[in-house]
Amino acid sequence: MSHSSKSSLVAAIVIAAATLDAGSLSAQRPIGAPIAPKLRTALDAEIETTFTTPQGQFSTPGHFYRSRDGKMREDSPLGSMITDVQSGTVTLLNHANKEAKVIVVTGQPRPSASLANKAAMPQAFAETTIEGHAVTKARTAAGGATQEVWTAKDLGLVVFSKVDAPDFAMTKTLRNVSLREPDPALFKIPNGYTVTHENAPPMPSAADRTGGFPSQMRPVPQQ
Amino acid sequence: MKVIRNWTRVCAWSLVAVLCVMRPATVKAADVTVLVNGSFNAYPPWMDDWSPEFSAIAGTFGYPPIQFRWFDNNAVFPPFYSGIFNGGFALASFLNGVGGDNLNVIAHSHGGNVMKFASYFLGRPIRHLIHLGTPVNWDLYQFGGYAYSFCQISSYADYTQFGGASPYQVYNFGYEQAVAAQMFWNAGEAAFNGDWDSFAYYMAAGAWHEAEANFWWLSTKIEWGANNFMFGGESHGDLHEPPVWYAIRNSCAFN
Repeated sequence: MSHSSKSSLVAAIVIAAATLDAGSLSAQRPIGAPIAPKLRTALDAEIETTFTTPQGQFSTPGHFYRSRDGKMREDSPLGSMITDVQSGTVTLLNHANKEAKVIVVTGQPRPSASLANKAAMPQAFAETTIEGHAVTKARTAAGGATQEVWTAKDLGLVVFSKVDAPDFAMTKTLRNVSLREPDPALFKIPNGYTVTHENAPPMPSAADRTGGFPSQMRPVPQQ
Repeated sequence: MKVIRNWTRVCAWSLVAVLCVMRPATVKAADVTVLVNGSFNAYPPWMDDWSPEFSAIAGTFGYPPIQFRWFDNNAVFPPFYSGIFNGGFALASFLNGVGGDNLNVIAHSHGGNVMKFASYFLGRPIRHLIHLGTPVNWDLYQFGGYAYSFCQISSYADYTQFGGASPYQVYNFGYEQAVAAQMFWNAGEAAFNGDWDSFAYYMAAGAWHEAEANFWWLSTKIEWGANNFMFGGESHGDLHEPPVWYAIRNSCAFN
């Protein structure tokens, strides 16, 4: 092979690699998510959580933060949840009582996604674009309830999730995503909080969800 | 005779005049509205004569409410809830004897559960029953709590209301919240390592358990047979303050 043809081949490979759409590689994947580790994109977003019950519907606000080094924080009126991939902990902050519960999750036995019940694995059913991001919609059903999870492929972020059970539905929507590094102080326990440590509870099996949602377990009052 | 006739006419017209100018509130004076305290304090400031909340309620009904206080209000914990049962007996006795036409009851916190138990022994109907931040406790669910108009006022962020629920509800919330946290951590780790199949699975599992946790959280706030009002960031004490009262009175007191 001549030097020029060898150069042409190398150039063609480089161009092909540079223009290849990673998403096309994952067309057969369960939710069509990218295979590149995109979680390392720092961002924050507003959250709106909506609850629907036979007694009415209401929404609560929240905020989501993610740092480049694998820390996440989700704020809601109940408090904050800080997830630290590197330290293997989840910290639940109760701002009302100024309590921090640190749950050690690393090393805990957990259901394997590969061994999971097929019905529990979300299956892609549509693609769309939301706020300029390509989004894959996936759904699953178990125990009389249905569930949808929409993932922004380029961000590695679930931008919408919904659990729809008899007499109870919860949707969580992320909006106004900003690509920026959050303040590192957001991922620390504030001063003055009482800190407790505990291990993660025993994990339910993958088949746990087929038992159904507890929304119809309430006792019936005597009239 | 003519003088007597004239006096009769004067009296009749005077009565008509009085009836014409009489305020509707005076007409309702035969109704009774009772305030019931919550746990740990039989004399909470919101129930004081002419406190802001007392005044707001008096202004709504057109006459001042009266206060019922139950004093065994530290004994509100499972498994016996003895203070709630003792308070319920006393409240039932009070309400059966208080008289009046329409009877309205406005109860804060566990005072609502005292009222639930009291309603089991009531010999008269309740016109308006309003629970302000009452924990919906499944241990106490079998006891009444009924009225022609029943409103349950809650705040999503109220931990005190949650803490007054049954151990079963509280445990299930804590367990599902911890499982959801673990699942979200699993998802984060999977995505951090580029394992998107696992990410998808764990995110879906996390969302499911997060929804279950929220179901248990809301089970302590939503009253099945009532007209429910859910506020966002209010504290337990905010629920017995005038802004909340003015927000709910059209649906809960004027109906």
